[in-house]
Parts: sequence; C-alpha cells; structure tokens
Amino acid sequence: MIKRKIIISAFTSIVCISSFIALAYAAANMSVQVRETQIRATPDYFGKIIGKASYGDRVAVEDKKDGWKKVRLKKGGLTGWLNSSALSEKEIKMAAGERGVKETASSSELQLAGKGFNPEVEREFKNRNKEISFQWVDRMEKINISQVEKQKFAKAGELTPEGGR
Amino acid sequence: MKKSDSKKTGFILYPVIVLALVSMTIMQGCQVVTTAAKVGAMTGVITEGQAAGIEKTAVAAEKTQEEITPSQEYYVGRTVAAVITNKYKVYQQDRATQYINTMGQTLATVSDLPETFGGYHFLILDSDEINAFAAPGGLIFISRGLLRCCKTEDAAAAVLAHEIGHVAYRHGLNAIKKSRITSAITTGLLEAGKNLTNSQVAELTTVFEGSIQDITSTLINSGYSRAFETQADKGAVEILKRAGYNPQGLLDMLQTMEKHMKPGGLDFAKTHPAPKARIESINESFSSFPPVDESLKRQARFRRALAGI
Repeated sequence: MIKRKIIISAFTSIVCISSFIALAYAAANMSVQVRETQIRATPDYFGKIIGKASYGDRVAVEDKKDGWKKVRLKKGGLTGWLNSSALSEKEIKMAAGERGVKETASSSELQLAGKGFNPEVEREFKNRNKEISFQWVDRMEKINISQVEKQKFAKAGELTPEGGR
Repeated sequence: MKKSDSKKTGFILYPVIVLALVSMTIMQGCQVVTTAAKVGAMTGVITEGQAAGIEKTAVAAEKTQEEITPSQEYYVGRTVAAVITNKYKVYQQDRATQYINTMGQTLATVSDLPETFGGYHFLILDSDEINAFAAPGGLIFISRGLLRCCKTEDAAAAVLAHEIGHVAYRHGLNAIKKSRITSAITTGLLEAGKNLTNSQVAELTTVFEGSIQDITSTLINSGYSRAFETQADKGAVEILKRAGYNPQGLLDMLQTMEKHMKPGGLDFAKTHPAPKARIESINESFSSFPPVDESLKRQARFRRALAGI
C-alpha cells in the first residue's frame, strides 16, 4: 500500500519535473519583439552598449536579473543583456519579400502578428481616410533621446533615483 | 522505507503534484474545450461544422488577451495618434518639445514597460483644455492647459508618468471591444503565415478602423474606468520614485487642476475621476510624501523650457 503510494508519487513527480523541464527549455529561446534594441554589457540602462538586436532576432537566454535577460544572439553569437520588455517567448518569423521586412510579418503556431494590423492595413486605412494626416505621428517618432542625454538630464536636474530597471 | 519517511516524501511531493496539475490544467484548458467539441460531433449532439466553430471560438477566446502583439499595438497606436493630431493643433515650440521628450523618455526607462516596438514619444497640444492622451505603444500627448496646472518639474513629471502608466498597462488596447478581435481571429484574418487577399485586407482594415474608433472614443469621450485611472496614478508614483522625483508632485498637480478645472468641461472634467477623488485614492495607498522642494537648477530649467506655456 505504502509502496504503491510511493510509486504513484514518484511517477507523478517525474511527469511533473519533466513537464517543467520542457517548459524551461521552451522559454530558453526568445525573440526580439521591438523594432530595435541595444545589447548591454550589464543588466541596466547605464550599461555599456555592445551591440544591437532587431525585430524577430532569435536569442538564447542564459541568465536573468531584475527584469533583464542575459542572451546570446543566434546570429553572430554576441552575448549581452537585453531588457525583458524587448523579448517575447513567441517565435517571430520574417515574411519573405515583404517591403520593410523589419517592421512586418511574424508567425508561428502560437503567434499571430505580422499578418494582422501591419503596414498593409495602415495603407488601406490611409486610402479610406485621406483627411487623416500622419505627418505629426511620423515627426514625433523621430524624437529620440539617447541614454547619455537622459543621464545628463537626471544629473543636471539633481534627481536622486531609487534605481529602476 | 519507514512509514514516517514515506509520509515525509508525500508531504514534499503533494504540493509539487498540485502545482503540476494546476499548470497542466492551465496549459490544457483550451484543449479540453476543443476535445469536448470533437466528442460532441462524434456523438451527433452537434454537427461537425458546429464543432469546428466551437473549436475556433475557444481558441480565439484563449488568445484575445495576447493576440495584439507589440508590433500590431504599434500600428494601432500610430493611427490613434494620427486621429488625435488631426483633432488638436500641435504646439510647435522646439525647446518645450525637446524638454518633455527628454523628461518623458527618461521616465519611461524606469517604468514597468521600458521598451515598446516604436518607443515613447511626446507632443504638446496647443489647447487650453486640461487634457492628455496616451496612444497604445507610447505616443503621448499633453495639452498646454494641463501643463499650466504644473508648478514644478516634479508635477510635470507626474503628468507624463501617469500617461506612461496607461501605456505600460496597455489600457488603450483594453478599450477595443473583444468581439471585434475574437471575430477577426475566428475568421482567420489575424492568423499569420497566409498572404491576405485584397478582400481580406479590406475586412481586416474594417476591424482596425473599429478598434481605432473604440480607443479614440474612450480617450476623448467616455474615459477609462476608475480602476484604470487608479492603476495609472499608482504606477506614476512608482515611476516618479524610481526616477528620483517626489511623488508629491502628482498631488500638487491634482490640487491645482481642481482649482482650474471647469465643471462640465469636455476635457478631464468629463473623462477622469474628480481630482479630489484621485488624491484620496493615492493617499489611501501611500503614506504621505514630503513637500516638493526642488533644487534651484531643476526649477530654473522647468521655467525656461515651458516659459511660453
């Protein structure tokens, strides 16, 4: 009776552990889900920039810390830290032949992205709504403040951060 | 093995087993529904066509929470922002625009969602209304009227941090009627890997237009739920602390807003809980903050940058 219980418990725990291993393995590979992001030497935005990654790039996760993940780029093998908000567990595949590949298509059985609301839909929306201008949207998207400028801003304003992510 | 040993083993294993079962249920919840649909079809309770429909709907319902990926969110946000910048005039003062972008992008870095597909960008609207809008993905608009309610940089930072909170918690996407997205998934329009025909693009654009309509009418007319506003205020307090601002700036700004706000106005008076209620709700969640005591340098650059506001 006791033996049977032990066997059942052992079997269930094996099933459980192996499913967790499977889950952990599945999570080990991730995709960049933002248009472009910087790879840093340390897990914070003050860390030195050692490279960049683009939408759809695959990475292997090697470590994690405070909202950051240490990754190895599948293409080229560069290793460094990316903020977790830039990464997705879903695979993002590029659609061949798409114009502006970097900002379109993605797919996998888990994922529905690039073919949904994408540049093609925006174009069709613009055709239907000619009175709506995207001029200011395009202009504001070009305003980018570098990390160095942000640090200068914080220092000049005598901000005393508690530290973020 | 002694009896006490097996008890011990059981003691350790049971939580693990429960955890495993829970995680399996989460992973397989959808499969149970779809399997039930198949069984229903086999036993003749429902037709195969109906079964396929139920399967698709079950899968769709499962996905509505995550089907709008950051890249799709970006395209939704761009169009929402386009609608806003066509309704309102943009305040064109480079120094002020540069200043709120430097402050806003610094704040976004310490939010719970530091990186979005297209990043955070800010514009000032040339309007006396007390108003602000956050389009999904991080395109944020603040009116001159609202900036006039800010007497310090800490207060202005609070306004930006509140809007960043709406973006980070994806409140805009939540305003889209679930039925729109569910139907787009069920009909395969949002599915990846296929090249859409012209008529499918047209159909998807109609879903897109509806989604934009849902979001803009929430932002401009009906406002978010009180729960979302409270969440954005709490998020703002955290962002301000992390960035090194005094969260009291948020309360100061709300007090000034209370004085300036016209009852019956078509701005925050219509879309947001009363400033007093927001202050009470913040006070319930946090112990009091010290008074804002900005450095002279910070106060000086704030005055300089927003001199024309």
